[in-house]
Amino acid sequence: MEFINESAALSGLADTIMKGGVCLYNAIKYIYSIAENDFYNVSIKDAFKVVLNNITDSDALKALGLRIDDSTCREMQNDEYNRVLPMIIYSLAVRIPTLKSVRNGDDSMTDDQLYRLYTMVMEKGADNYRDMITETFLETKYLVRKGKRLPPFTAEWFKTYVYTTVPTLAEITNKNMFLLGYSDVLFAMFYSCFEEEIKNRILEYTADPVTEE
Amino acid sequence: MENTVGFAVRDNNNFYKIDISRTLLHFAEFDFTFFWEQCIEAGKTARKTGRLPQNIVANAKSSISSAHPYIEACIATDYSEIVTDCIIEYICHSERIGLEELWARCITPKNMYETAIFRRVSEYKTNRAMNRWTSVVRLQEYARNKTEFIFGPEKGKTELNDEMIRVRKEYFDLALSVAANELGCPPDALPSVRLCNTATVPSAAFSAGKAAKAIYRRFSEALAHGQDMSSLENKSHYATKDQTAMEAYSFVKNMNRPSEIDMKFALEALNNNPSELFLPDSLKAALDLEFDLMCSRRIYMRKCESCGKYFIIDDIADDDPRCNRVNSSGKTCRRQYEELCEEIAVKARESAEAASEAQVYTVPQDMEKRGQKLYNALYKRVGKGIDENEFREWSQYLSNMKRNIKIGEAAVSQLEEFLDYSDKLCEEVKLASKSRSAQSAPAAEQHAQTEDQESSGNSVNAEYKEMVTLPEKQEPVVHSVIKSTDVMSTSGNIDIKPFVPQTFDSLYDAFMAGQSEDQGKGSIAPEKREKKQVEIKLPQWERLTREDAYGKKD
Repeated sequence: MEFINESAALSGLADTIMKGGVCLYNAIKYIYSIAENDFYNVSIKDAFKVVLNNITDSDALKALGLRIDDSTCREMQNDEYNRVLPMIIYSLAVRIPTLKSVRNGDDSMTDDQLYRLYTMVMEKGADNYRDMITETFLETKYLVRKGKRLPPFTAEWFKTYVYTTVPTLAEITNKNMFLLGYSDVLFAMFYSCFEEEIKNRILEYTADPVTEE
Repeated sequence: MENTVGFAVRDNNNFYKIDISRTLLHFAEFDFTFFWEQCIEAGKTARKTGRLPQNIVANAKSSISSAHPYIEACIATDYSEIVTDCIIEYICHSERIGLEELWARCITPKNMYETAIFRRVSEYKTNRAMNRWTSVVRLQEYARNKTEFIFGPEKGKTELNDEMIRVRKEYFDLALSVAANELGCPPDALPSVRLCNTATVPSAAFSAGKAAKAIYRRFSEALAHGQDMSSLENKSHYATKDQTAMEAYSFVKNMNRPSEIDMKFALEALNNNPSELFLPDSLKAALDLEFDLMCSRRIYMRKCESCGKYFIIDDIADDDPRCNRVNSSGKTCRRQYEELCEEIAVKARESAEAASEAQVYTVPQDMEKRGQKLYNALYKRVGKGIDENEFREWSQYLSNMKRNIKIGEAAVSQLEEFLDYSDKLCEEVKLASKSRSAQSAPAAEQHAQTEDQESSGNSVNAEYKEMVTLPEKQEPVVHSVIKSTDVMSTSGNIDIKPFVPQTFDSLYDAFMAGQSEDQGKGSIAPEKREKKQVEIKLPQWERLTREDAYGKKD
């Protein structure tokens, strides 16, 4: 695909993926804090709406009066849970080959551009801790090339990791059960909106952007 | 008793005053138009520039602060976003959208203005705030309704008594409590007021700064090892208040009285503070507090019958239903009413005088009858005891006298004098008539009596003339009163009819009759004169030809 400035475009796209990962990571924490005091004050539906309309703005949920600190999500304030952020970014990075389907006329991103973007994201801090995420870049690339359907973007790896690695979240509590419940929905819905966001970004960076009708 | 009380609010170290009843009245009548206009102006500007203009926002907040001291106390905390609230209300109202739709519109804010609206609506949605502007407006209505309910006038009753006022107030409050209870509202969710002093208000550690610092210095070491209780902030304390208090007390329970110097220092710091301090947790609580204090201190209101506004009664014994406030006329309602009453009294007096004067100008009924009797009696004796011309002169005099009384140019007493004179005249005429009939033949005497009315008076003896004319000369007062002393010309051809009041068929007849009297043409009967003088000439139309009208055609 022809960009106005290819390196800037790829860097911008890498940033968008990073911001998306951070947003999802923070959204999990913000929504988790609802269970502390605001279970009957904050509608989770409203929280989802705010997150999905602000894919790259992780602090939009502050407007609902939610906050991330020791008093609201103490269980997530530890090193084990902090590894979730690079893993979320990795889970988004391995799906970069799907961007091949974004077209500007007949033009689409080349394999080289996609790989460079993947490398940039990995360099910015994405990580697959203990290979919790089973998907890989090459596997996704293969499925895209063959035109096969990708497995849905789910929170399975996230739940597995939390159960096995983060004892404070593995405990059976009201809050932790709430976390397991909303994370499935949040991951799926978030990825759907994230795809749309990154597609718009790619088209922004192209020389001749296609206007949507 | 002083009619002000002090109050404090959360998150504010200052104390404020409520002027009992006046604060309430001021709030109930406060005009929010300026605030509303400023908010709309701020909203329009923010839509263009992307941010709220701080000078307009400050003006608007300053304006609404003056509505009630509670708003003033909380303008930096609870009411800090009241301008945004007003803008949100305006947008929803003008664009006919709900809060949900407005929130969804601003969910991805593009500027600070949209962010402010999104954040504020989010606060509504998560029960962290309410629209303060609509709340103030509703509370103003609440204050008005409660005032009307408690102090509103009742038909037929003007006096107020303590028991009635108290019962009305409590009935009103009870109605709200019943409604809240039936709706399942938790008891601590409704507004309430706490009675504190300056040392027990929530901000005591800051408002009594110097003394508090001295105390802290004494116990700082022990407090440093105490358990942090800030985690209790968001939890319900309903069942654990005593426990929490005793936890805190345990650190100071061994406190001795400080030294005299420290005590003096504390006295200086605390002495000027009010001994009694209320802590309303909302504006409604502050309004209710004022109603309660009004009842307990017997400060009542009454609705002005002139302007319809409530006013404070200085003295309960004073049952004047009008207020002392200056209205658009530049006078107080009470003064205006007094002036109106005076004006009405003057008018009534004038009309009474006019009515009494009007009574003077009418001829009394008894005198009317007396005159009629005299007329009939004299008329019978025309030609016998009284000459025909003399009778005519007498009757004309009587008629003129009556007319002058009616137009206010003669007094009733003068008529009475004339009638007294006429009585004497009548007696003399009767005597003269009898003496004359005694001179005539005894056979004809009876005939003369029966034919009295039909006989014409051609011959009147000199004695009779003397008797008739003499009293006239003796009554100069009567003559001076009568304006037009019409003397009928002597004519033997005119028939004399019994006296009847003058009646007229039309205005023209009446006018002509008056005119003829003024001209003094008494020799001709009025009916005949009128008919001769009225000449109605019909217009004579002549038909013109076209040539006559426009000239010949060329």
